[in-house]
Amino acid sequence: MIIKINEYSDVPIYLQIRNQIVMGISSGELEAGEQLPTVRALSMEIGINTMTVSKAYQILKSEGFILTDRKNGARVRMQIHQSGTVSGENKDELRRIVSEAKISGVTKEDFDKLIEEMWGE
Amino acid sequence: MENFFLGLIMYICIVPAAVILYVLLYPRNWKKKARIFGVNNRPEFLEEMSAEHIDGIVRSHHRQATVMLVCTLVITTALLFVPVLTVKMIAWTIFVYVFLLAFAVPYALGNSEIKKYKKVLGIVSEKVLYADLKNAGNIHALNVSGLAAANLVGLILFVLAVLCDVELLPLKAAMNPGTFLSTGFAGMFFFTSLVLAPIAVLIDRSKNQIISENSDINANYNRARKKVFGDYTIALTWVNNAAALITLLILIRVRSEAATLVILTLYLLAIMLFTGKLVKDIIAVEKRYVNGEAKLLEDDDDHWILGMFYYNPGDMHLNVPKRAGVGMTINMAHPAGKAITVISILVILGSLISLIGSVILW
Repeated sequence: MIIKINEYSDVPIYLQIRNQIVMGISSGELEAGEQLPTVRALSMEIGINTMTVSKAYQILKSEGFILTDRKNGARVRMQIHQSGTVSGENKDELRRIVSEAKISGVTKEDFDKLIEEMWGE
Repeated sequence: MENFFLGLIMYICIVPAAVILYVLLYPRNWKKKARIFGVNNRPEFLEEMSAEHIDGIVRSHHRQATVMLVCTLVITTALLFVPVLTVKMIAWTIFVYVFLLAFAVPYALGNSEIKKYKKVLGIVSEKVLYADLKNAGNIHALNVSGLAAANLVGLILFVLAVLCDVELLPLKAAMNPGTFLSTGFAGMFFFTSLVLAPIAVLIDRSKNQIISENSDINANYNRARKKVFGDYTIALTWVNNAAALITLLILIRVRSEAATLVILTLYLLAIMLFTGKLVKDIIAVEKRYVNGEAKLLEDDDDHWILGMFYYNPGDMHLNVPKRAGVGMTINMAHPAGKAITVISILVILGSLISLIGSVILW
């Protein structure tokens, strides 16, 4: 899986890493139990501070997406807890996206179609 | 005799280096290359109008480089026949500086013209960094035990040379006591190998290049590149060992300056042959992976000053793969990179001042 970090983005780098790993797990690019690179290896690879990658991994761990231990490094969890609900934070984000889409003149059908496509990815 | 061999040594160093630089920096078929004068090749460049424009830039600088190459061949051949040793060495030193500068000029001009054209096309760097999660920190190809074994042999040869020179071994028949000639030679070859070893490790641990969305292609490409460099370093270490052994044997049997010069000439010839092989292998790897459907994704052209010097404060790497030529170069924005740059400039300035001084004194 290729991670893309946009240096000009308003989104902090640790969050970009976190988001892309979550998207990788969701799309199946990162399989359950798959080994992730060590903090040092990934920071060396991207050319960023180890603390940035460490922060991304800590968030992923606290959210229950990955497991970390000294011996095996970081791995995608075999079973990720499925709450069956969208978090409040994500609902707010979705509301913002829907609002912007409405202002831009996107129809509900087109929006549904887009979600359908993304759901299938 | 010594005069001729010293000239020949310089000739063996400069001429193949010029040919290698010419082949690497000034390829004609730019459409099939990953980069043009250090600027990433892009699909936009291949469109009809752009291709014509870039073709013009490449042709003009290729022509300039060809003239430089021919001049290099003529001047270096002429320098072989300069009779006075001092004049010869001063002329060679001046020529090396002029050659390095002159050979880089068409490349730097080409780089700046292509960057300007990129702006004309409205291509702006997205400043996106890429990392392959599957390969990060996993791709290594250096045979560490092979390199260690070769260095161990070098160390044994060095110790043998020291023992001969301090007369602890009964092998001093033809040697001049007190000169420490064999220690000097074996030490020089061993030291060269010792310098190569950390460079090999750095290259093996360097950042992987992302050329494709497919992790397997990236893994194979980076492994192949690293293997070529790793094998080259081990081969050079064995060349150093062979040179140390042969020099030691010669110094035990006969004490002849001409013989050591012949060894030195053959040694440089071997290094140039292996370097030629390295370039050939690197070109083959690039041809196989980069020229197909794969493409370079990261656009960091703006961080490459004149396509040669890397300056990226946002990148924590000290060493990065070169854009011009083969091997690695330093990130001049890195704290250690800044120190290395200042030291290099001081060394170059110092040698220039000493050269000017020697010309005035002569």
